Amino acid sequence: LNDLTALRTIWPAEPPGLPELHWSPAWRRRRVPRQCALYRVGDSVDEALYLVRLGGFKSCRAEPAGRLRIIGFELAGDFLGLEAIGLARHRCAALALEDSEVYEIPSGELRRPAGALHALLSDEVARSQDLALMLRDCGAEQRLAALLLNLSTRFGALGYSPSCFRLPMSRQDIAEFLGQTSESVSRMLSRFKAAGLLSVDGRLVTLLAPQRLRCVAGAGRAVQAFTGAAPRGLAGLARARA
Amino acid sequence: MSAGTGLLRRGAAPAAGGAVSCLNCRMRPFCLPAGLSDGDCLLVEQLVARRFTLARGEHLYRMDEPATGRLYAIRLGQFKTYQLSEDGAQAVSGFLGGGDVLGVDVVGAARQRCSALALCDSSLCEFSYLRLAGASLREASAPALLERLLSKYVAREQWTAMLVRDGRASQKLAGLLLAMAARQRGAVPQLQLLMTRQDIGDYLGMTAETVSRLLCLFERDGCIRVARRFVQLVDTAALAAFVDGAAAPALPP
Repeated sequence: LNDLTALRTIWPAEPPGLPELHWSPAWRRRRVPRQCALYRVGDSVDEALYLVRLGGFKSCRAEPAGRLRIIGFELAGDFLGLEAIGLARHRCAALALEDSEVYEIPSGELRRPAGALHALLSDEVARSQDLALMLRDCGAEQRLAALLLNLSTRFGALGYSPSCFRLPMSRQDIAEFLGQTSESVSRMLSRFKAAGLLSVDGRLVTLLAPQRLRCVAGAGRAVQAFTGAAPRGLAGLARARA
Repeated sequence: MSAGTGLLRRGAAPAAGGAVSCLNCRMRPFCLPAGLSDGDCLLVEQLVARRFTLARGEHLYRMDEPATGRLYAIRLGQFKTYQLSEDGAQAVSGFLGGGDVLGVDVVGAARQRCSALALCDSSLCEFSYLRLAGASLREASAPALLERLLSKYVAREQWTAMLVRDGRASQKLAGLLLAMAARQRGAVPQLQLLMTRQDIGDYLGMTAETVSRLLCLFERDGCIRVARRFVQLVDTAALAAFVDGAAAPALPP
């Protein structure tokens, strides 16, 4: 509770912002091979959260008919399992897009510093809402441009090139995430290419005119929030790797 | 703030003159003390900083105001949350009702990211986040209680994203009505939609005319009965057929 006392002295006058979880040796590394599940719908929920260390995941929710629908992509520095705290069984699945590694963080470790996990969860509420608003308010091309800029921000934050990166997910995954068909995603990519916005070779994307891509995505609040969202667990990841 | 589908009337006000207590509040199963023992529920009740009412049309908070580290549980009433764009356009981000908690999207944040407007005269229980997070309960853990609450809203917003992304207008509206009904207990769910058709359209990404047209369609097909702002779900199975599995997200938690 000492942390909380410290928090009280600075908040609400100065909110804690985004406190990072403290790394500890209790964080366990776990490998998840490509196309395997970190957890599936119906699995019992462990008292743990996951921080992606390497690779990437798609998180999916089951619709009533049982089919999985993609609701997010989690890359290095992102957390998984935030939507399942307190549930007996997972309602989502996390599937590895490539050979990946996560830190499994026991729940006891999550509460240091005090408020860190609450801030993380609250931020995730906001992010999920921003995603909903972006998807609702944007047309197909805007959505695709926003996703590419979102990936660019995340790769940049991870220390990779923000303008030249490999898409960790398939066209089909992108299409599903954006609520499109994979044909239309391919067509839009061709149009972006023809317009000189980017070049694309298989999964390798080079953003040639990020500023113009930003114009395509638009200046709406939710779009800005979505495209500018860097991974939340970066500092924790850096400490864990050090 | 957050969230899909609070909307509804979950029962009437407590008996006139009766003291308000978390113990016998109708919202207890949906609110912060959900799942707590009576003893812990009373301890949570002692953390209520104040109970107050807002009149219809009043704001609880506005976008970009400093966030004050408060959580507001709705005891009675309905709220809509929305953002304003630079050009003044309103983007409805959620509807909340009894048992829902406002402020869950700004824990640890500097500023409000939405405005919250009372759609009817509403009663709220105000909590200080810091007092809640630092509270000691007998059996349960206060931090864990907050984690579960926040996690629930993460899942709800994910559900909303799927709802507005996938499917045709009829599927979205049917999905929303069913989700609202699912969060109500009662044989024949009756929803009180205090928001305008325009608000519903904004929330789902369609026009007010489409909302009205679809409500007529649902009524003609015998799924619902509409009387001004009351919508009675007469045949939920038929309504579910509109959703038809194809693009329907699972019901929110």
